[in-house]
Amino acid sequence: MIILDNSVLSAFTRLKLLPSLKLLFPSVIISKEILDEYSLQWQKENIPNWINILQSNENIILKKIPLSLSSADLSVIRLALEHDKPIASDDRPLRIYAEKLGILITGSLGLLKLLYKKRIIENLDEYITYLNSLQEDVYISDELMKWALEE
Amino acid sequence: MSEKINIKLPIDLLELTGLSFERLEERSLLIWVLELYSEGKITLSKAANLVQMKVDKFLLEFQKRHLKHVGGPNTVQEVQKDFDTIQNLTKDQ
Repeated sequence: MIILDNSVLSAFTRLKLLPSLKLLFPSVIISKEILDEYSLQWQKENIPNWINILQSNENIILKKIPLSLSSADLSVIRLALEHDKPIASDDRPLRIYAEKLGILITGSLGLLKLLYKKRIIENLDEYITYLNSLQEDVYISDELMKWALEE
Repeated sequence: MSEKINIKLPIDLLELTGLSFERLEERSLLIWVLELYSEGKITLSKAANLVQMKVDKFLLEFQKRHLKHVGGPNTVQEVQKDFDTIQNLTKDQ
């Protein structure tokens, strides 16, 4: 099971790779608060019914919350704490705060490489196209691009 | 949004942009927030909240300007850790 924030949710939606995540994880979760931040039309067109939408537990008290995070970001953190599951996020402030709380983190680049390693993304050309397109959502430095292309 | 501050801009901007005072105010805020998001100082959700937009609409504004979003892992060590986390998680898949 993995919890997506809206940076990874929107990147994988734009890349049309959301269905591929179903092949990696038995369960993919987003919070109700994250979903509500998208327009109704976007929700209708992009959220498949196998994605679980959960309400976070507001009773989980969080301390030293950075101003850089929204209440929807905090709902992602609360879900991760409640279910003891990792978060996929490309937003640095959220990643840093989650790590401080001991939550496991991953991101779009790691997910993309795993999809390629498992040959869900079938060939190198296709993989490179996805990597280049991901740059619209999150900057990939030369060093990280080199890592992504290592076998 | 909670408390607000006033900032001063040259009056020429009204004529140069052709925007009304309110639209100029909105546009100025959007530019600031796009920059903060681009630099990775705020999350996507926080950025959209600050300009009172839906996330998908904010991303359209961001992507049409071809801005770079500094986010995700910063180093090879960090991205490898990201990868190992999900590889362990999906071992049996």
